[in-house]
Amino acid sequence: MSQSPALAPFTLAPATWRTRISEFFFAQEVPYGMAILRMLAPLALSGNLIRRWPWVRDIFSSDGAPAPLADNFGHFNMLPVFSGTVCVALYALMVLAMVTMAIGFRTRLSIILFGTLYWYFSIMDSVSTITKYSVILTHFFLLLALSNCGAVWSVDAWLARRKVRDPLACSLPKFPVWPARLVQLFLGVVYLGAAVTKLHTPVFFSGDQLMYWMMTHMMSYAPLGDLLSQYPLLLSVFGYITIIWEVAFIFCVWFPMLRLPMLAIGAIFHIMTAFTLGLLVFPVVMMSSYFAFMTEADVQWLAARFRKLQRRLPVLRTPFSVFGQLADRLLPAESRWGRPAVANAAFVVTAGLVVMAGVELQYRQDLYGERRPEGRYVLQPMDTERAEKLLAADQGLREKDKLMALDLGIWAAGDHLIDRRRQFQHGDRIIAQASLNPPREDLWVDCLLVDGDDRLITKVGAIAPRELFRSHFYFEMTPGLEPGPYSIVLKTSGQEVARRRFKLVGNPTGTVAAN
Amino acid sequence: MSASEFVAERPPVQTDAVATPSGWLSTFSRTSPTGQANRNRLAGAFIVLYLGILGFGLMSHTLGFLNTAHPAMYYIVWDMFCGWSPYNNKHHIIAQGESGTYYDLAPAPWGSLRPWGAWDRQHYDPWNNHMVRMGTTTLRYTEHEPISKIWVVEEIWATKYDLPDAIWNRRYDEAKDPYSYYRVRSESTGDGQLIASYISWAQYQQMVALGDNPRLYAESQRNRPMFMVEGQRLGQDVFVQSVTGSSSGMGRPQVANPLGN
Repeated sequence: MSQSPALAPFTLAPATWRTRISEFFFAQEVPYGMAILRMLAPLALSGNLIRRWPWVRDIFSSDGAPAPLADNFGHFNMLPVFSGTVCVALYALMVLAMVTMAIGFRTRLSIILFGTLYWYFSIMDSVSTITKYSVILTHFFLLLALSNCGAVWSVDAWLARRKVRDPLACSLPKFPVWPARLVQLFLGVVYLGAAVTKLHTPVFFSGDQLMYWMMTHMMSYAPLGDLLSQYPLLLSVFGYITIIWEVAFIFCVWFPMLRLPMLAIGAIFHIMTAFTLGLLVFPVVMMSSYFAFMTEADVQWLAARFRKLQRRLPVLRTPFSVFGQLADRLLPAESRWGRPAVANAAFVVTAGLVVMAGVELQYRQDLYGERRPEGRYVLQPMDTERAEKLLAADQGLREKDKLMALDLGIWAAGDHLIDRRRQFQHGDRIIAQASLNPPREDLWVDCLLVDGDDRLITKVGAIAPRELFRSHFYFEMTPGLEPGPYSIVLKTSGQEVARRRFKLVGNPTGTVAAN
Repeated sequence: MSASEFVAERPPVQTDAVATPSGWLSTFSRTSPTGQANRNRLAGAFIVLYLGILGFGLMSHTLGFLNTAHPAMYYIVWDMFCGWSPYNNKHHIIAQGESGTYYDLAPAPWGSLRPWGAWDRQHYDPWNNHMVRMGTTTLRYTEHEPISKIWVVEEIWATKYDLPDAIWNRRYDEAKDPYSYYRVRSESTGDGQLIASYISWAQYQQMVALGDNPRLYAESQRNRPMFMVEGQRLGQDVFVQSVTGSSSGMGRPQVANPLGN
C-alpha cells in the first residue's frame, strides 16, 4: 500500500518541526479509516450489549444490584443510579444509537448518544460490564464524535450526495486528520502502558503469569491456552517478544516501511489472546482501531484493485448496482424524505418507538417474577451440611496443593525444562524440577530416587524459600544403575506430594555390546 | 487520469454540514479562512490537553503516583494483565434464616448474567465490594422467613486441577484430586449492613507464610499497635480494602481482571 507523506513526521525533509507537526495533525484527508472504526466498534460491542439486555434492571438499576466503579475507589454516590424503567429506556436508546452509528445515520448525534450511554452503563457495573476495552472504546467514541467519520460510507453521506444532480461533480469531503492521529497515538500509549504493567510484574518474563492465566477458565474456554500452559519456556519467549513490540509500536508505526509489519504483529498478538486466554471482544476492538492508520491513498489503492477485479469478474458489480438502484427507487433524489429535517424527525420518532418497545418488552419479561401467576419466587433452603462446610474455619493448605508439578528432563533454559522425558540413558544427568505454587511458607523439599520396588537409592533435599517458583534436583544416571523402572519422589513436610516414574535404558557397564 | 487527479478535479459536495452559519458560529465556520484557523486553534488546544492527560496517566501508572486516586484514573491507567494466581476462586452468598435454615442467594431463582464465560456474575467481584447487594436483591424479590445473617464466602482451589484430563494424564502420574478451601469474606445483617470484613484467602495465606517464621512472628507480636489505624476504609454499606500485596502482583485476585472479555 502506498503511504501518505503526512504519516511520517520524523523524516529528514527540509521543514521545521512546527510545520511537520502541523502537517501531521492538520493534513486534509477523506476520513476513511475513522469511518471504518465507526462501523466496526459498535459491531464489536453488539454481542455483549445484546447479551446484557435481559439483565438491565438487575445489573444497572436501583431495582437490582448495580456495582458502580466509583464505589471501588471509595467515591460513593458519584453518579445517579436510575430506576429499572429509566435504565431500560436508556439502554434501548443506546442500542438504537449503536445501530445508527454503525450505519452513519445522524452520525455525530448517534456517536454522542451511544458513547455517553455506554460510558454510563459500563461505569455502573464494575463487576460484569466495565473492562479495559470499555475504557478504550470510550476514548474512541470521544474521538469519533470529534471527527467527521460520517462524511463517507454512511447514510448521512448518501443523503447529502443525492442532492447533487451531477454525480461527477461531487468529490468526497476532506477534513484534518487529527482525530485519526489521536486514535493512533492513543493506541501507542495503551501499548506502552501495557508494557509498563508487564515490567511491574517480574513473573511475566518467566512465563508463570501467562501459564497460570491460561489454565483458568474464568473467561471463554480457550483449549489452546490449556495446551500452551504446559510450555512455560515458550510463554516466556512470547512474553519478551510482546513487550518489545508494545514498546516499539509508538515509535515505529509511523514509518511507512514498518507500519504494516507492526500492525500485522499486533493483529496476530490479539488473535492469539482469543485462542489462548479466551478474550473475544478485546481483540476485535483493538484490531478495529488499526483501521485508523488507513490513509486516503490506501483506500484509493485498494479501490483501484477492486475495480480491476470487477472488470474481470462482473458478478462483483451486481450487488452494488442492485443496492444503488434499490436505494434510489426507495428514496428518489427529488423526494422530501431525504431532507435533514425529515431525517432528524425520523431519528426522533424511531428513538421514541424503540424506547417504548424496550420498556414494554422488559415489563413483559418480568425478570423478578413479580407478576407470575404462581406468585413471587420462594427462596429454597440449601443443604445444611454444605452450608456448614462453606462456613467452617480456615483449613490448612494441603501439601500437594503447594506443588504445581514435578517434571524430569536433562535440558533446561530460562529456569524451565526444555525436554520433559520419561526415559533416560546411562550417562544422563536427570534434572528433577519441582514447580511450586505461591503463596506458601518456606519449605524443605526432599527429592528421592527409588527403584521399581520402591527401594531408596539416593535422596537429596533443599530449602525452597517462599519467593521461589522452582526447585531443581540433579541425579546422575551412573553405569552402576541397573536398567529398568525408577521413580523420582517429592516430599514436603514428610508427605509424598508427587511421583514421576521413568525408565532407565542402556548397558549398565557402559560398554558397547558386540554382535 | 489517476484516481487522485479525478478526485481533485471535482468540486466538494455542498452539504448542510458545511453550509455557512450565521452569528457567533461563523467564528468557527469551515468555509471561511478565519473560521478554519479558529477551528485549528481549538483542535490544537484539544490535542495538547488530550495528549497531556494520556501522558499523565502513563506517568501515574509507571511511578504508582495517584494511579488509584479517583475513578477517572481507571480511564487513563493501562494496567491490563496485572493479576494472577495459582489458585482459582469463586464466591458464594449464603443467608441464614431465624429458624437456622441456610439459603444460597446467588445465583438468584431467576438466574444470573454470565458476563464473560460460564461463571455467574458474583464470581467476578474479587474485592467483595458488591456481593452483599446482590444477596439483598435476591431477598427483596423472594418469599422467605426473616433473615438473620448473610455471609460472603470465597471458594478456592488449585488452578492445576482445571487442566483437561488429557493434558493432566500426560504430565502427572497422580490422579486429579481437586480440593476446595473456603474462607468467609464478610458477615452482614439480614438487611445487608456489614458486621465484619475479612481479608482474602490469598492474603491470609501470605500472612500464614510470614507467621511461619518464629523470629518474625515474635517480633510482630512485641511491636503490635494497640489500635488498628489503617488498612480499611469504611464506606456507606461496603468496606473498601486498601490495595496491598506483593510487587509481583501475586497477592491480587485474578478474577474480574480489568482486561475483561
